[in-house]
Amino acid sequence: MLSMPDSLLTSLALGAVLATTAWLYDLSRLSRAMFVALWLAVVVGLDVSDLEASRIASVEPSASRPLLERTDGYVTSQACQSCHPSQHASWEQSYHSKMTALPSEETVLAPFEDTVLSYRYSYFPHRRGDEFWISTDDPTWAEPGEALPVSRRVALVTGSHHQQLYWFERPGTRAVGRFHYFYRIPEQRWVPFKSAVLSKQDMFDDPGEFWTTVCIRCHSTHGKPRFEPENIRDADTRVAELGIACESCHGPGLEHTEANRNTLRRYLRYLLGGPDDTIVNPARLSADRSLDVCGQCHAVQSLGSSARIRQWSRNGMPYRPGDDIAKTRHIVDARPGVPNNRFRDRTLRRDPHFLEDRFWPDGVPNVSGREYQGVKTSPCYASGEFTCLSCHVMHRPSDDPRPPLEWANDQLAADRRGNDACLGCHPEFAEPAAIEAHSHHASDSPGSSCYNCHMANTAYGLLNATRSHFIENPDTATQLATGRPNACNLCHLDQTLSWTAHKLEEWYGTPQPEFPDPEHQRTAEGPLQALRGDAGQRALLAFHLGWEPAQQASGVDDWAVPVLGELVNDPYEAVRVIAHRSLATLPGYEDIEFDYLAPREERRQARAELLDSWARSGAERSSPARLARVLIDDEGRRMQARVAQLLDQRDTRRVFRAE
Amino acid sequence: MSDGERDPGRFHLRVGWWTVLVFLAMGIALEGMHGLKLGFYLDLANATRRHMWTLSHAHGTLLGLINIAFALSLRTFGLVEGDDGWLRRASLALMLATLLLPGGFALGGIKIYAGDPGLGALLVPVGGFSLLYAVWLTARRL
Repeated sequence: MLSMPDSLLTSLALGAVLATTAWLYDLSRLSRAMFVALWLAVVVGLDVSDLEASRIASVEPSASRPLLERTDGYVTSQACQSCHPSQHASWEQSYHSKMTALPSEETVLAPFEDTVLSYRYSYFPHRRGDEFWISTDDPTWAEPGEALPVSRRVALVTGSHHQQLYWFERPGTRAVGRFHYFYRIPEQRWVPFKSAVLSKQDMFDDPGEFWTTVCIRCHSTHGKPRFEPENIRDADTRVAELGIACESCHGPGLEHTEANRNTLRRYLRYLLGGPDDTIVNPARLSADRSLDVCGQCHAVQSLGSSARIRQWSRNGMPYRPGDDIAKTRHIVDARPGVPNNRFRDRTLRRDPHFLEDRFWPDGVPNVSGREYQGVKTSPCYASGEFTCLSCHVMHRPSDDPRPPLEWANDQLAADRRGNDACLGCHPEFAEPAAIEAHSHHASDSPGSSCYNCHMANTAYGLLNATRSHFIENPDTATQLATGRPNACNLCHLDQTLSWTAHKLEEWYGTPQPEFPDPEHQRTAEGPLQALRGDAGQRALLAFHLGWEPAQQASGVDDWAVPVLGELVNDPYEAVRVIAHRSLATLPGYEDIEFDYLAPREERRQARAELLDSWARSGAERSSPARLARVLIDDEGRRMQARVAQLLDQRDTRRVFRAE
Repeated sequence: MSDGERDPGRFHLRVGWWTVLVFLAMGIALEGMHGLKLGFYLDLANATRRHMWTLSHAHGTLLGLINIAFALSLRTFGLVEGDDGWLRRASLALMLATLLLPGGFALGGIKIYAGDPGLGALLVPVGGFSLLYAVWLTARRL
């Protein structure tokens, strides 16, 4: 695309060349006419290209959603596509690109097909031609004096992987409102907002300006909320681009695109090599700065002061890729004992739950999507070379054999899905005999997977357990101190914590802690945490009861159903969802139906029927000693008294995972 | 060029048909690469290569036809060399265009850089202006 001065100069130069040629050769009238026609064709062609460019730049269909605005050096991914087509295509295949999008046939995944949803009020998502609308009698959606019901057009959609949210237009503001329902993609089901997060509180009760004040930070590129703190509702929100686009990680592209209009410059760079200093390539940054690029969104953080919030609201985030992120925002360090942690203390005074909603007590993140702190405090990071890009690739290589959606699931490099991810720095474990000697498990078994032992699934998010990015050795003392389940017992669900401590001492010399609680010596960790753990631990255990490596190691067929029977009736909807999913992985329960949103009495009845059917099933039981650990008696029945006792001991404190 | 000097019409007719043959064969080779799903031709990262080679095929075939049309024009309208040596210059310019236009595109697609072709593509504008010049010289004579 040529800018207007470029096209004008090119047209004039060509006209001058043709006129000079005609004069020098004393051309005939026909030849002169042909030259004039040629010149006019070129001029018209250039002008059409300019008109097309200006048309694309000025697309703005609605005044009630964030304005798409190319300012501050941001030129959007469209400008990158012509020179970097494969990178652009792989970015489009990633879920990053669809973090927020305009509603369309392609982006809206929920059926807007005349379904009536009822949660406190009635909501009626439906289509009007190509548009997506929601009608409701919810008074919080109405403007002052506006009669109910109201209809609102969907302004934005967020998410495309696990779940999708919908934001609606509100008259006279670019601050979009939040629809109370998620659409869960795996279950293909609408669920109320509160049922899709690990919380018992009915949070975010009004439509609010949640996208404008929170989501915009990471679900758009160079977002500027432009609100006044006393009147967020009237925000004049702008973004360079919806979704996490090229410039989120590479920085504003204007200087780069302008500089590389110069053909000579481009070819000199091709021939001489070396970095292009007009753009940031996170792979060429130092480990610190590279990690900061991902930390923009994957860290627990705060702007830290009202002055910074005002500045962000007006001008967008001041951080640019390549900067030291800590200079423009506060990265929360939740590790106890970190000196001069004023922000931590101040935050805790304002919100006593802030840290426990995001971290285990030792400062390791307990939510997914917040991997920064885990990576940065891992021993591997001390090597100075370990970054997110050590394992993940943001652009799928053309020789990656996996389908794009499989790659996009976690964006791990094809050769980083197994132990190869670690062997670069730990080559001593490359040989099967060496890894077996280290892990004390068969080299091709899940017990010899570096990930399973050192990055266990102890982070919660999106109704799943995901890998912790704090790379650690399994340790029962850490579990006793923090409540974070140890990696061994997340596979060996049918073993006690003291068994694990004994093995770790025998194999690695890890000192055994004291176990004052007798349950740790007689009850296996699976049922123990599932019955008396807090909601966060129960969610993780519910996940692992359906996790194939754990099922293989723990022989869950003869004891997991009664445990999952308690979890499908858990007070937390999120735990119920995960437990139901795990239950359906067990033989004979593949088609089991269980409505986790059903009223309490219905759920209680369904649980009773499930336990009865399991008791009657006469499934083959294993050895009495093992069964006792998993709360099954000699006759294959559930130990009701022990189960009731552990349920009485259940940790019922408030749990929320601020994912 | 000895044939061309004796009978430029015959010379360009031969060049034209041989050029059409070469670039039709190239078209079949390109289609074969589609059939075999060859990544170095079809991958999005190699879109510039695919573009360049497609252009080479198209321009080469077209230039073959132009050579034939040029030869037939000479014969049909009895065009002969003039005092200004137009025929020699037109013939030379057309030959240069036949080599440089498709050749430049083909070479430009061998080594590519991001969204840019290799340096071989520098031959393309030279070939393009040569063609323009040859066509202009011929058109003036008709």
